[in-house]
Amino acid sequence: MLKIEHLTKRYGEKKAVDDLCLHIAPGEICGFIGHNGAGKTTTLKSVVGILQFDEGEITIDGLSIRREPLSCKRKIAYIPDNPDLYNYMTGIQYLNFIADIFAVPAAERERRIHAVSDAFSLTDDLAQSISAYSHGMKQKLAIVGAWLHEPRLILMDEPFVGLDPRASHHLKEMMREFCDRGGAIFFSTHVLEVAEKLCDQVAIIRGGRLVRSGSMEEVRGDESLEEVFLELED
Amino acid sequence: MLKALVIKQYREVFKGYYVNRKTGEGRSTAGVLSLFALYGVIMLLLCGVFYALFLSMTPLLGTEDFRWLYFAVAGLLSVMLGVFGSVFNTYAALYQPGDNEMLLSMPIPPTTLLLSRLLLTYGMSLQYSALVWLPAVLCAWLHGCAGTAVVLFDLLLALLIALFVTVLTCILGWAVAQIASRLKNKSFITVLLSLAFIGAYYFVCLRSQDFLMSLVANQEKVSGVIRTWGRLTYLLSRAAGGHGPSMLLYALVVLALALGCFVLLSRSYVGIVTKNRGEKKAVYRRGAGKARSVHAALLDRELRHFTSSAVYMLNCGLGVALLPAVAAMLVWKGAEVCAALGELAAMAPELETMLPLAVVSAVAMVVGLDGIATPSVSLEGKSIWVVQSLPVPAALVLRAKAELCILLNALSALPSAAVICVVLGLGLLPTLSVLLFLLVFVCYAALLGLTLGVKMVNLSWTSETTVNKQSMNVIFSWLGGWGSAIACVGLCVLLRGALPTELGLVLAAALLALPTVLLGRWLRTRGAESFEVM
Repeated sequence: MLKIEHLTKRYGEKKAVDDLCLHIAPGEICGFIGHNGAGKTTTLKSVVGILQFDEGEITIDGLSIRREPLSCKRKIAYIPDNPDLYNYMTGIQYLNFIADIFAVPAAERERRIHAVSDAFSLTDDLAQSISAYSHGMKQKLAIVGAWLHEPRLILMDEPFVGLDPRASHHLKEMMREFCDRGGAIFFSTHVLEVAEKLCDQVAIIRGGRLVRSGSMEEVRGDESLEEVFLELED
Repeated sequence: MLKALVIKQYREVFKGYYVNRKTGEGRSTAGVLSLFALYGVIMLLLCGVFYALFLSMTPLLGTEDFRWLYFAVAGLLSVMLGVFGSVFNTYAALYQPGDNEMLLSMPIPPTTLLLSRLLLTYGMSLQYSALVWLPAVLCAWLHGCAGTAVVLFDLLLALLIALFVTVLTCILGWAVAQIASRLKNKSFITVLLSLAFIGAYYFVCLRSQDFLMSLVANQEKVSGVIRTWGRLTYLLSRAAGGHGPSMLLYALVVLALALGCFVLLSRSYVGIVTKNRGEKKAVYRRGAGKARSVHAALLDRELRHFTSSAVYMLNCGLGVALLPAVAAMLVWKGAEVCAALGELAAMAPELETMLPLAVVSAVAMVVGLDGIATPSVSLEGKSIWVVQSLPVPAALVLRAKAELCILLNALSALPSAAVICVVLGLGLLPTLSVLLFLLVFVCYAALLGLTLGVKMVNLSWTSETTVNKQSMNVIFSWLGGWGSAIACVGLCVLLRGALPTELGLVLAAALLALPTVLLGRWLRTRGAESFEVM
């Protein structure tokens, strides 16, 4: 589903991401772990096509994000670490905008919106202006928007930040269901317990370089993910 | 603490001078100096325009009896421009900056925070009012009205006039905040109130000027009326001439007004910033949303953004409301205007052929101010990731931005220009040539503004005022639009002997179409590439 080959991104002289290779197959949830400034967001933004990279190749379902960005973007959904949405729209206006862009039929969009927004208890607030939303509500709205067009790959940057426990629980269930239906998820997190329970694959990045990746069992061995991570950091 | 807050605000305003907004890297010393030099040149050019205006009034300085009138007109004009320049932004600058909550959570007294916001408004007022006042007093100094006291008082008056302007605009901002916090559709209410205030203000100012001029012949009445009704203006004009007691009194009055204004604002500041008293939760009704094309969705997004922000509408769309108002006014006063034009035409017959050019100039100047597309890229701000991550060609996003600007301006400018042409009695061909030129100009101005918006983008701002008002791309967009309009009209004037005015306008439209096409092409290709990775 997602192939990242020798990805390198420089900011001036500094290499934010250095020769990173990672493959995620359909049905897999891959957790992306690393310290602040390790290169997680840069990698995710490169995959989404909103950041140009210097070397390497990224393909989604065999399509290059560089050469066929629009075809790739039709297959993916992205939720950034800070969901800055359109404050001049209401929640439902934002979702309708997303649905229009992905040409989701009117009847179908209603079903999909309510299926997810009901789960997040967001439906009653959809007529409110986004400017009145809390951080968690914006995060929920971004999640509804991401699921709306039934993407093949979902990329999320710290998706659990700001969510209440019930919403976090729902999101984890949704992620599992999505991948069980053949989708793939690549998300960054600092919550190692969540990654440990939820992910099929894990990738640990340090200083822009991938220092460990593979299935959860391979990476973790007999230790906890936290212990592995701290050892690698040292 | 106050110093740190003021520095933070001014740093944001002048950030573009020190830091390349695209790369985030600091500019070289030469780069910083050249940008400041450019700013200085623009200010000097504008000062030059007002200097020329006051040069024609210097005969007033020759007589002791009428000297005060010179300074009274200068003071009124200075206050007018100051109010016009800053009134649209005061509400947003005082009550809507994005960092209000963060700063209020710190151990900063709200009055200090308010004072720092007011000092930014004061800076804006000073910039605009000084553009008129300084050339006026310089002209006076160079024409015999000089002396240590005069120079000192005139410079002090520049600061005091800006303070008076700040008081006027802040009271409006406060009134808007009081009403808007209780109502829905805040942006439209703000626009309506601001326009009503501006209308009332200019009505009073225009009447007072007429009053002044009509009473020039009758000095006794002038003194009496001004002393009664225009006491502050009279004090100002006397102080500017070097009268010490008037200076002292004017300073005391303005300082007292400023203090009163500060007390009024500080009492309600935190309440207004932190409360939305009148907002009821909107009820969501389930139902299928209407599906639209990608293009319609993007255009709707731009329109929502434009109509959601009073600052955006007032700074970049004022002409959309102004031109139909002017056309309506002309219909109302058409007979008087035509009579006046008839008299002028009798004295100078060639003026009649210039009428289409006058219409084009006036409408193009207003359209040049309506740079709705210019700040639209910067206004994406931190939410730019949404369109960047969606399967939408960046060229289509930019097209929607340009189209909104073109649609609103064309829908306002073309019918208004047609009405003006009919009222002024222009024939069919001149009217059609005016409309053709204006159509091309509307497209040109929108694409020029959008190009500047892409080239000089600023996505990291805390107040929309920074983007709508204080960005270089907005100023360049105005100057570029006006410069192009002047060049086109100038060409028509030059060719008047060889070509009829209508043909001259068609030629100018054809010439202007060329850069329009080139700008459109740049936006579709390199502009779109830039937008994708901003």
